Parts: sequence; structure tokens; C-alpha cells
Amino acid sequence: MSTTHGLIGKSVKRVEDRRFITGHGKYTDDIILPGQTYASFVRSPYAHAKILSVDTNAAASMPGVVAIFTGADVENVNGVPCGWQVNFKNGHHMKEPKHPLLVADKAKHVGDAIAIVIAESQAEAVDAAEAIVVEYEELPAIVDASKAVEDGAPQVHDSAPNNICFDWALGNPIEEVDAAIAASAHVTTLDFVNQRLVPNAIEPRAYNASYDQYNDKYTLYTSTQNPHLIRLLMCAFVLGIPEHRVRVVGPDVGGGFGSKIFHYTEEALLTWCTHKLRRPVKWTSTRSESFLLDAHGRDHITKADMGFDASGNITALRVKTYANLGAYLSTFASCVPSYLHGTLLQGLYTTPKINIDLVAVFTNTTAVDAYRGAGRPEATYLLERLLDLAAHEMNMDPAELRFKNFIPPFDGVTQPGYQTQVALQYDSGNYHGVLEKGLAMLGYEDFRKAQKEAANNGKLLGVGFSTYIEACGIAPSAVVGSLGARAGLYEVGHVRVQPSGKISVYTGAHSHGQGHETTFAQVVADKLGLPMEDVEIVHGDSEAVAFGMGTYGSRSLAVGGSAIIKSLEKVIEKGKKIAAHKFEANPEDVDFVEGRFVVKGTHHSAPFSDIALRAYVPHHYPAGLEPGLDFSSFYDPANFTYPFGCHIAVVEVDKETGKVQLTRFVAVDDVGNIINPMIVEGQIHGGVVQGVGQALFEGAEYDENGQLTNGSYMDYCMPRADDFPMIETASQVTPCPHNPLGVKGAGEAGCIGSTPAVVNAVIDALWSGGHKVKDIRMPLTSERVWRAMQQ
Amino acid sequence: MIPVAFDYQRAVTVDEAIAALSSGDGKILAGGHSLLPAMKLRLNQPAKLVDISKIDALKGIKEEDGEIVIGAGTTHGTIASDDLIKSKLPFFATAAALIGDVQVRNHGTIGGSLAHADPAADWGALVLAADAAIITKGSSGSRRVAAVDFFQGLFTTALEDGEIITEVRIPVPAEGTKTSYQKFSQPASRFAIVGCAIMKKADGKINIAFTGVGEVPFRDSAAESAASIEAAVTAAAEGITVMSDHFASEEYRKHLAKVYLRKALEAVA
Amino acid sequence: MQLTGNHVVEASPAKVWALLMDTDTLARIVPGVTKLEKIDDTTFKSTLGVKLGPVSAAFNGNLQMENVMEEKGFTLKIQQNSKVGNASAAIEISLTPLEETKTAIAFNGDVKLSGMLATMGQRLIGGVANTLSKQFFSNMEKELLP
Repeated sequence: MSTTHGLIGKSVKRVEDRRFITGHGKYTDDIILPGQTYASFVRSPYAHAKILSVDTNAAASMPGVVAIFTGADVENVNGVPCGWQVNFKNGHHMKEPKHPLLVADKAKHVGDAIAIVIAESQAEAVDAAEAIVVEYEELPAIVDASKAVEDGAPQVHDSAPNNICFDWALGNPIEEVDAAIAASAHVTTLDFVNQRLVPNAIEPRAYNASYDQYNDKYTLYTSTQNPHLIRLLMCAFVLGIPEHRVRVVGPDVGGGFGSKIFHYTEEALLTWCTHKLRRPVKWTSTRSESFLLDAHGRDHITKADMGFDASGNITALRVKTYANLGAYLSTFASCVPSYLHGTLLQGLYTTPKINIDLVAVFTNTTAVDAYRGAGRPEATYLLERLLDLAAHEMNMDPAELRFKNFIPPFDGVTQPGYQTQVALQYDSGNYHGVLEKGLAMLGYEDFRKAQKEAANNGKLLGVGFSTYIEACGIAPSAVVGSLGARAGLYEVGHVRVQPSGKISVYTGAHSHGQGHETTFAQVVADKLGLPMEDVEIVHGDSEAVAFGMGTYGSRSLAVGGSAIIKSLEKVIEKGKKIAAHKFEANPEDVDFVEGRFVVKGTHHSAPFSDIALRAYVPHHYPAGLEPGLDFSSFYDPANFTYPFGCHIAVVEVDKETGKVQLTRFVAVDDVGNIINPMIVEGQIHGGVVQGVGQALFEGAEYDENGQLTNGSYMDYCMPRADDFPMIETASQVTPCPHNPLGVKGAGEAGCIGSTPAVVNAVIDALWSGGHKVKDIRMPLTSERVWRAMQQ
Repeated sequence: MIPVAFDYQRAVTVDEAIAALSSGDGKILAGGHSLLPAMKLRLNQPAKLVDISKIDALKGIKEEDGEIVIGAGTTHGTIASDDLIKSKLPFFATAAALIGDVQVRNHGTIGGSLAHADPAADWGALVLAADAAIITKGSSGSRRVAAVDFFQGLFTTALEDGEIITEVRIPVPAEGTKTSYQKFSQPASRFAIVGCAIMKKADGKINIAFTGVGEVPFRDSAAESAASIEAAVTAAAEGITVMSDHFASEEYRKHLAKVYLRKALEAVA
Repeated sequence: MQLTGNHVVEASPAKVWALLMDTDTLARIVPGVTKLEKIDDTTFKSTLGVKLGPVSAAFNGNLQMENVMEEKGFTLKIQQNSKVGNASAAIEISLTPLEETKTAIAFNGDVKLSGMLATMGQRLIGGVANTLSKQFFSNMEKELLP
């Protein structure tokens, strides 16, 4: 196929920005349907409480109230499901307690929904919800995952003894790992917390459900990253409605970061309500509700030991993690700390023995699920903190220590992929390359000199490294199926050539900030030799797009883009047949070059639009060939893709206050081939800021009663532009060997690589001042850093 | 995010505002940056809002009778960029520029902030250090309240029911006066964890005031009467109830007060 | 949140005790009380209005005295509900005679907030508790004035 048109690799400006920047995006909350009603919820103020009574009498007679439903009304409706089954070490299925649409007997976290009020206006719904009186008996709550497994801890679900959802292990036999650690010349041990984060998408979750009784047809507008998946889960697992009766639309969506992958109770409940009421029902989360209900991220408590031989080669890695799942099992909660975390513990290193032992635990807190990076940031944080700390402890250079342990370069074509100890096979990599480039950009030797000089002048400068790998482009369906996924993870790409030769592309991927309408159009226009304006990208509507699995795990281009390529190949192949007929040539003799069908060795050629028209006006047409130029393809990847990179942070720590200033950030990322460098750079910038947010600013704080005590922007600190220097980015390109575009994925890289680099830099700064600190709990607030210096 | 229903009245004169406040459970709406969020969260449910943001008489900065007069309805943004303030009370400009973010500075007003009396708001320390007077007006007339008498407790001021702040009046500093405002911001809200305002007069006398440290902004007389920077730092923020939260424990906050006092003293040295 | 403190008042323990045991006086001492109704010897039903800074809320609930030791002390159990969240507390109050007309009142207990109060209030809750206890003692002193 032709790539000579040259749109691939160009920083084309985003076509969607015209409507977003001018405020003309159309989000779920913008949609108002005829007869619209509005919902508001009564939610538990307690983390754990018996519900003794719910009195809706006063509320029911308030102005505008259309209906009120409580837990008793939906007792016979299924709860929302988990999409990934993980088994206990002993083979038993994980515990899957019901996650009801409304709770009737017991609230299990602050914000658990007790009643829904539906009214003619939003204000009336809120007023009436406030008038509902609930009597509670508060119960002791459990917040900490490692304490939740102890005997005598409060029980979140009766069906999950000791609050354990499942336990799980991966890697080499533990005896072998124990022996290797015991025989090591040096062991670096780190006890740490990877704290809980609130996703904070700028658009709060919103749903608008309607039911057309005359056609027995539901429509659900939802702020989702994957409309077809929501339809599948809601229809098959919760409401038992056949999916051809349900249209799910994810219109413009203002950010997800994972939190809008999941099927939430409100989506199913509103759909259930609209059927009862025969009127559309809309609910838009308040920001306070977002803090309490949008699935949180991370929340691991981990102890890790890394062994080294006398010359600094890693001998083994042993990991014990408690993963907090919150009160209910969210859609992908089970696979995040297991298959998306344990499998990445090889990192970029040749570690010969690895074992992870995981306990996944219920607590009286908001559900925890995938959040930008999902498991891979936790794995990277663990590895990269250990590497830098080991370098300090062994008095080695952290970059040197990495070079010593890196897996040697391999392209995955002439050299095989790299088989890890933890079940994955890396596709292609050149890990030395990104670190070398990063060190050069930083001016490493000069920095170390400056650091020494600063230390002599009483200033604390530090540098921190993070060389990460992630598994993206999820995923081969057979592989994830064998690991417990309850869905396939292929993608659908449908290319409809219009009679005029203009192109409509229907993709199962969903754009909520990624810029697919630009990137995908670039790919299609490039491959067909057309201007980008001739290509439209349609996504997010189950009625327009045949099927799809959606956007998460940096998969859209690697999987969704590949499905489009497959359809483009079919279009061109058929086009060649039509062109061959026109020129009375053999189809094998027709090439497609820069948007024209050309008969080899002749001057005969026809533009793409001419052949498209012939396909729809088949007056002079090959015998036996169907009219039309319209192909749909499913692409199921052969492997995950494995982007990697090197992030280096430089910080200055104020000796008197502990305040950390990030002064430089160097990011060298290898995300395979790049379609739009500007969009990739934007993704890296956004990801880095989010990852630095975890290191320095963010973190959900629960008190011992399970109250989220920083559930607003007054107290939950989001990173801001003035906290950052200009991020210095560079690319290295090691193409993915197993997908047609050679792309790996860029959406999560920044968020995965950056967090440990910043924490390592602060620790390095402290060591430069003689404070031999092993760990500071994230976020590294000024006080925590100051306290670390007082020890 | 929907407040309880309320009445709204826009006043165009101070007297009209005072009259509107005299009946019913009314609250003044100035910049609204503290009140409206509280209402949307239903933490506060006033029956009536009296909007004073369009009263021209409450806006502006001038010099009059040996005093710099800042209208209560003047925004932080205006104060930050005002030439008279920059030349005569530079630490007011510094402090104003450190409040919240651009949107907050363009809406929030000095009078609104003082009346709300958040213990971590910047202006408390400034008006105390500058020997300012707060001019209030109610149905029984105007009062002049010295800044030291204005702050009475957590969110509690000398304002009486139905009174509004009309002006902040600051004696024009004598030639040779030096000022400094040093602030350690809470990273999320950008309120002060510690704000230290200092006015060093031509005769060498130093006013030292803190905000963010205690439950109420205060003049630190022990630090003011200390003989050296070292002694002032040692004496600072002792003997008061120091606040504690996620971002700064009592111990750390007190430490910061001393660090920021030193910065301020060195700046005016 | 831990609530701890003490205060010395110019009155005998017997006089202080009498104040604390009298419903009408108590209603005047406890900050924000708009209604206090005695249910039995140790239980009161209350309505409180708290107006402080950003918060203006009405609370309904119970005050209950436990472990009552005449003129020595008791445990005050508080459960107060509002539309923006609930507050509960168990506070031990003890009276210690200092001189004939001086009594040290010590309090120590745990306050639990829920809902919006817990979410929004962490920065201020210490100060609010302090302010309310100061008001309590200053009200008590007013009652003790001859």
C-alpha cells in the first residue's frame, strides 16, 4: 500500500478542537429529550451502616416529583457485573458479591445509593432527595486493605470471609525466589504505599436513558469510553434486555482516564427507570459525587525485596501486595492488580527469578479500578524505586545499574521476542537507547557536578530515573480469555467508501480526548492518497458502529487502527478488480499508488473517486463482483504491544520547608511508529503531569471511619501548569513487529514512567544532603519531606 | 450543585443594600467565591442574597486625608495592579497577586474576604500589619473598627447583623517604611498555610502579623518586641492555638511560621 | 477527631453540677441550641443551629448522659443529624474541685463527622470544635455571674 502521501508522521492540528475550543462539543448533559425528567440520589453519609428505614412520604408529595425508587424496588434486579474472573490460588472463583443498583439493607461505602428521586427539574429532584429520611445504624468500617484481612476486622460482605476477594500468585516458585534472595550479596527492601487516586475527569459522569414503548427501543446516552461494552454488560448481565433493543451512544466525552470504562449502577438504574416511567431520565454527577463514586485508582500496600549479586546484577524479585478493591468489584477491578500488574514485574531487566503474591481485598471505600496505566504504574513504581534505592545502598550509579541489567536490544523480527518470568513475551525493544538519549538530553555528568556544588552550598538537588515498560494494545482475545476476561478484546473497523469517493470510517474505539478524529483520518487519508477532509471518523454510537470494545489501555491505534487498515486493504483489493475491468487488464497488474489505480507498465490509471463511483454505478463492471465499496473488519491482535521509555526528573528540595520544586523533566519514549507527533507529545505531557500529580500532589485521604476527607478541590490537590517546568520530550522508534502500522500506544506512557522518577529525585536530593531516607509516602507533601529530613 | 431556592436583590447603593439586609435571613453577595460554593453544596441556605457587586461607591482605590482608601468591593486583581498600592503599600500588591488564581482574583473582593474571615485568607495579616481600619455601615450609621479589633474568632468578626464593610483605610506609610508579605500556600486551594505580613516603619518599629497559623489572624506582639531577628523567630507563633490539617500539622505549621517570619524580616532588613 | 481540653470556672463543683443538670440552663450554655427537651433523667432531644463561616445548618438529635457520677462527671453522648452530614461524639466530662469556689472541667472524647461535613470540613473542624467549646465555657461563666 502507498504511504507516499505523507500524512502519517505529520503534526496535523486536531480537527475536533474547533468544536471543543469554541464550546460547541456535545456532551451527554447537553442532550435534552422531549419529556425529559431528572434524577437525584439519596446517598449514605456513612461508610458502613445498616439501613433501618427509608421514609419517602414527605418527598413523594413535593412539587415536580415523578417517582421515587428505593433498594426494595430493585431487589430482584441483578447487580452490575465484573468483567474479569480471577481465581484464588486454590482454584476457587473470586468472591463476587452483588453490587446492587440501590442498596436496601446495608450501605458499604460513603455515597452508596439508597434511593433515586426523579422529578420534572433537577432542582426539584435535589430538593425532594433532601427530604427523604433514612434511619441508619452505623457499623465499624474498615479502610486499610492490610488490616481488612485480619481476624476480627469489620466484614464488608458476609460472602467474603476476611474481606478477601481472591489471592493470587505469579512467576517462579516462591521457594526458588526465596533461595535466590537469601543467596544475594545485597538485598534492597522497600515497604511502601501506592496511594489511592481520584480520577477527576473534567466532565462528570452523565447518563440520559429513554424508552420508546411503541418500538420497544431503549436509547442510553452515556459518558463512556466504550458504548458497546456498556450495552453488552447492561443488557446481558443486569437488565436482561436483548441488545438489538438498546442503542448506546457515547457522545463527546470530557476525559476518562479509565474511570469511564466501567459499567456503573446509575447507567443500568436509569435504563430500568425509563422503562417504568416511559419518560427519559437524566442524571449528571455533581463533583462531590464524582469524588465519592467514580472508581478510584491504585491503592496498593506492598513489600518488595530485590536481590543483587556482588557486581550489581539483579538476582531475584519478591513482591507481596495488598490491593484495595473498595466496597464492590468494579468492571475490571480484578485484573488490574493481577494481570496488568504482576505481569509487568520483569520491567526492562533480566531478573531471573520473580514472584508476586497478591491479596485483593474489600474495604468500606469507593471501588478501585483501572486508572491511566492501570497496574503498570504500580509495577513500574515498585521496580524503579527499588533500582534507584539499590544504587544508593550499593553506592552505584543508578544509570549504570540499569545499563548492567537491561535486556539487550531485539527487534522481534530477525530476533525473537523476549520471554519474561511473568507470562509475557515482549515484542521489540531497545532499552539502552532510551536511557542513553535521556542522559544526553539531561547532561548527566554536568548535573552530578552541579549537584555536588549545590550540596556544598547547602542546597539539595536530586535526579531520579525511571526506565519503564508497559503492555498496551490490549489484547489477544484468546490470551485474555484464558486469564479470565469475560469479553474478547479485538476491535472493529468499518470503511464505507461513498459513491463520490469520500470516506466514512466507523470505529469501535472511542475518543474522549485522544484525537482519534484526527489520527485515524490521517491514517486513512494517507493510505488512500486522499485529503484528510475527505475522511470522516464516526465513533461512539452502537447503532452506527457494528461493534467495538472501546478505548483504554492505549489500544485504539494498535488495535482499532489495525482493524481499519484491514478494511482499507479490502477496499483497495476490490478497487483493483474494478480498475482492471475498466482497463481490460488483470487485477494482479494493477497497483494502487498515491491515490490512483495504475496498470503496471502503462499510462493507464484512474483516480480513487472514479473507481468508487463505478462500484456504486456498476454499469461496466466485472462479472460476478458485488457492487459497492464497503468493508468491515475485526482485528484481534497477535500480542500485546510494549512501549517503553526513560523518564528523568530533576528537583530542588527546600531545606527549611521540605517543599519540592520540579525543575526539569526529560521524557524519552518509544511508542513504536508515530502517526501524529504533536498528539503523541500532548499525550506524553498530559501523562507526565498526571504521574507527577501522584508523586507530589494527589491522594485520597480516608479517616478511620471511611469518610473521604479531601473530597473537593479545596483539599484534593490537582497538578497545575505553574507547578511544572517545560517538559523536554524526545522519541525513539522501535516499530511493533506484529501490527500493520507498527504502533505501540502512547496514552498511558507518561503516567507510567513519571511517578517514580520524581520520587527518586527527591530521595536523591535528600541523600545528597546526608539524609539516607528509603521512602517518603506519596504524595510528597512539603511536611512529609521536611519530616524525612528531621530523622 | 443546586442551591436551595433563594431571593435575589441587586443593590445599586450602599443604603439600598443595608435596607435590603434589614429584613429576613439575607446574605451579602460580593465576589461570591466563598458563599456560592457553600450554597451549592447546601452547607449554607440563605433565604436572600443581596448583590453588592454593582455598587460603584464600593469600588476603587484613592488617597484621602492621609489614608489610602480601598473600597470594599475592590477586587484582588485591581489591588494587585494598582499603582498607588504598588508604590505606597507594595505588600498589599504582593499579597493580592498570590490569592487563588486569575479568576478568583478578578471576582473576589477585599471586603468579601475580610467579612468572611477565613482563618487562612491573606488579607487578615495585611490589614493587621498595616494598622488599617475597617469601615462598616449599618442602619444605625458608620463605624470605624481598628483591624486589631475586627477579627474576633474563627469566621467571626466585629461586623454586626445587617452591617456591611464599605472601606479599608490604611494610614499612608511614612517615607522609609518597608513592607513584606511572605506566604507558604496550601497547594490545592492556594490559601495561606502561613502568611506573614510585616511593616517596618521609618522609626524601626515593626508590625508583624500572621494568617493561616491560628484560628484567627493575629499581631505577634512577642515577635514584634524581640531585639533581633533570631529572637523574633524564636518568639513567633508561641502561646497560640496553631491549626492542623492534611497539609500541615501543628508542629510543621509553627515551624513554617518561623521560617516565613525570618524571610519577611530579612526582606525588610 | 480527638476533642480534648480543660477550663477552670469560678464556682464550686456542686454549683457547676447543678447548672449542667438543669435543662433550661443547659439550653442556654450549649452553643446554638434552639430547642432542648428532656426525655428522661439522662436523655435530651435537641435542635441546634450552627452558623459558622461557610456553614449554616440545623441539626436534630439526642444528647445522652452516661456513667453519671454526682458532682464528679459523666460521659456525654451526642448524635446530631443534618442534611449536610451527621456528627456523633462521646465525650467524658470530669469536674475536679480546685478550691472551694473553683472547679476544673476537663473534657476528652472523640468526634465523628459524616457526609459533606467530613468531606469539606477537615481543614476547619479543629477550629470549629475549639470555638464551640470556648463559647460553651463563656456561656457557662455568664450563667455563673451573680
